[in-house]
Amino acid sequence: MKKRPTRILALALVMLSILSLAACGGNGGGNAGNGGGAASGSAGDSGSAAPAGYKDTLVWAQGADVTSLDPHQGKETPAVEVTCQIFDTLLVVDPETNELVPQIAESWEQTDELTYVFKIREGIKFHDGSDLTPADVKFSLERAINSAAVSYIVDFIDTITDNGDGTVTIKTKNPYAPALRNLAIPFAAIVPQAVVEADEEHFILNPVGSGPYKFVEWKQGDHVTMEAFDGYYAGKAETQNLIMRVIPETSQRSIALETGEIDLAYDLAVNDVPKVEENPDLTAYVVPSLTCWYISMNMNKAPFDNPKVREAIDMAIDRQLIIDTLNNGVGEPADAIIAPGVFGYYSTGVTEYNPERAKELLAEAGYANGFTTSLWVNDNQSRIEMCQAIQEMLRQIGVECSVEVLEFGSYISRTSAGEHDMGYFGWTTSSADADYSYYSLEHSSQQGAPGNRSFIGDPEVDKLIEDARSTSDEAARKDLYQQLAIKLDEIHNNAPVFYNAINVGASNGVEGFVMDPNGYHNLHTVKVAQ
Amino acid sequence: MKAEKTGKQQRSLWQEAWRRFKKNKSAMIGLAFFAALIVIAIATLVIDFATGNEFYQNYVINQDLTSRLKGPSMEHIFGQDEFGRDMLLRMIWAVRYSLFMGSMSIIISLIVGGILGAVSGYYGKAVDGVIMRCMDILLAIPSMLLATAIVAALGTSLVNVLIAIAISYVPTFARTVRASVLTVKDQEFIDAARAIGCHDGEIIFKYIIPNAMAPIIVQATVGLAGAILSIAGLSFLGLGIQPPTPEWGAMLSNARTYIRDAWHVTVIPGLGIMLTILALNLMGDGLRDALDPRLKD
Repeated sequence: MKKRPTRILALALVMLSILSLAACGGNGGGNAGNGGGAASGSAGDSGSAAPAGYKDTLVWAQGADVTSLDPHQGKETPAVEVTCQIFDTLLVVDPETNELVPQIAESWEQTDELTYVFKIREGIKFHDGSDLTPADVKFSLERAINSAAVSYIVDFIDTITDNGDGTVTIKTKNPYAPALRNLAIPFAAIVPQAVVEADEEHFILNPVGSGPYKFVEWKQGDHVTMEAFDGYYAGKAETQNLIMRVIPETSQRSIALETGEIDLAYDLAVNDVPKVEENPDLTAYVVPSLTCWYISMNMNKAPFDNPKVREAIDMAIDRQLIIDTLNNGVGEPADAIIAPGVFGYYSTGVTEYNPERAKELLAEAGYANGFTTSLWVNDNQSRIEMCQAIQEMLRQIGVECSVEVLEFGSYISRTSAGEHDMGYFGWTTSSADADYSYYSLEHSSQQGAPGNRSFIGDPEVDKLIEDARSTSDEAARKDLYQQLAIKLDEIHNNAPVFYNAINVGASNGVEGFVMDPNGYHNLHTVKVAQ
Repeated sequence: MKAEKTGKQQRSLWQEAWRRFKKNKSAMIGLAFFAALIVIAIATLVIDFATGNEFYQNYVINQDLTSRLKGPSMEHIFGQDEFGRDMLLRMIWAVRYSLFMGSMSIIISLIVGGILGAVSGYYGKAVDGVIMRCMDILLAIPSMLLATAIVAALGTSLVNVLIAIAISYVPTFARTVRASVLTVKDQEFIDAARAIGCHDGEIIFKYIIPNAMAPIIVQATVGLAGAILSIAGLSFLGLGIQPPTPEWGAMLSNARTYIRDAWHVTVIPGLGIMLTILALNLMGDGLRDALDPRLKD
């Protein structure tokens, strides 16, 4: 009779399978520490090899993989976090001062309302050794204009002319105040014309740019490896190798940081931030972001074509409670889809939480007994939690709402097609100018994929957006955005929920790290003490 | 001696088996636990029916965000989850999904697999070849992977999860039934049935299946444990039951972010799954011993 051993085995197996369930969530990757270093440092390199006492490899972890390495396609933050190390733009916004500083363009001037002239820095090289020329700039911006994904940031451009003397002239269709800031967004990246034209498919998987790091390898769903580019115009990057590891589970990211497996952990869970702060070996960087999380109501679908229903939904959300509990007190209740740090923000006052009034509104709209609907969200734990809390708040006013969790790709494509009732979205005003968000999210021409997923098409709103983007007078623009904010607050097509803060956990050895409020942290000045 | 007994009266076989089963303490504990779960599941159904879902709405899915992740206390014996909901009530309400879906999928796969196995065992030759090779193909894919693929293809819903798990268990039942049919079909009483003019369907269902029941019951009990675990697994991956419906796997999955902040949110559903599977396995073990005539003590 061999009963006992079988039973113990069964018990052990059950426990194992449960443990493996709990531990599931990708701890792939393995040796991320100091691999790759062997291949570093080309012979005869003049200077900046890893100084003594510093690591030759910096490893950071983020929650999602790159969507596309093509900077004119992958505009999602996880992609830009990688591609902004590989590609440069004409100019950049200094994350500390919020001022525009030169990068590929050495200098620039605005000669009249519609004309900008950029002097292209001489001697900039792409990673394949070729020179960056004004022709590449013209080619790149035109490529961006033709890309459905990022066109909205550059479609103000009418013509781009290579003047033949190392300068490029950009003419805009209309006066467009945020022009320069838009050109500083990473997806206005400059790419090598020759390489892209030779084999575009190859370029997309093996990007070549002029940034501080050159691309080495992308293992999908696992990691991206980059190596410092010796010929970078502003001097070789401080750390020889960069590795981005995909660790989807937030708690796994903070554990990896604690065990020293990684040097930087992007986007920690809010409940892990205090743990990182308390840890003497770690530092948590937290800054307010330019991201607003909001619920988009599909105005093409009943009952969201009814303004009273939309107002009722907006009113049923207890924003402060969500922030205080689920968000551990991090963030601010939102009253517009652009954050207070964005030019053109006007506070209409956070919608009052009033479930009683919301019920009355529903009754007035003819839904006294509520209705059944759905709220879509992509498969991200903290976002799903937000939606579950909102689901419960809507239930309190009689709205039976199911939370539909979709994989990110199908979430984007299906909400672009307008299949959703309501969707939970985050939108970052990358250019820190209101036009960036209002045009994409509220203009009738941007319905679907470009960003307008509430499918609002209001002539008055369109007019205000168009007027504000074609005026360069700051006071006049502010006034228009104020009118727009008030108008949108009446329409309630989007229910802004909160502005979050953005965080990065770092080991204390990390030096020179500067947070970017968009999350596009540039790592070329960062080094890690051993 | 024993052969005479089994052949003669069926009832005494079951009585005999029960007598032996009762002696097995751990199997009895398993049975008691399982019976308790069934009672709990029925009780929740009755409560929901009697209160018109009001109790469920007001206590099981009602959130209390301000006291989220609070540990066990007198008021909430199992503590509160990440939305401040009572863990005990959620654990209790989750029982019926696991049990119902588990047993439904096992019943479906038992019927489908049983018919396929019986047909292929009884007719043999080409029929056997075709059916069993198909089963071999299904068997070659790990059942969890197969279920995940099916749910991913059909979309996430309760019914699809049920179908997915049922399909992934069909081959094991087909094999078990076929094996027992093969051992029974050449015995004299089958020849006798054929001699008195019974047609094939009658022979299979009236004479073969009842005599091949024992291994099927054992397989079903163990299969139920596996099915419950698969449901929990699929829900853990977000492919099963959708929020706010309580389900152990989903509870475990949602709580894992807080594994370092609040132990109870992961440990309790984990224990729930573990104890249920353990109880079913103990029961299955006991049943196998009790139903195996060779193991008579």
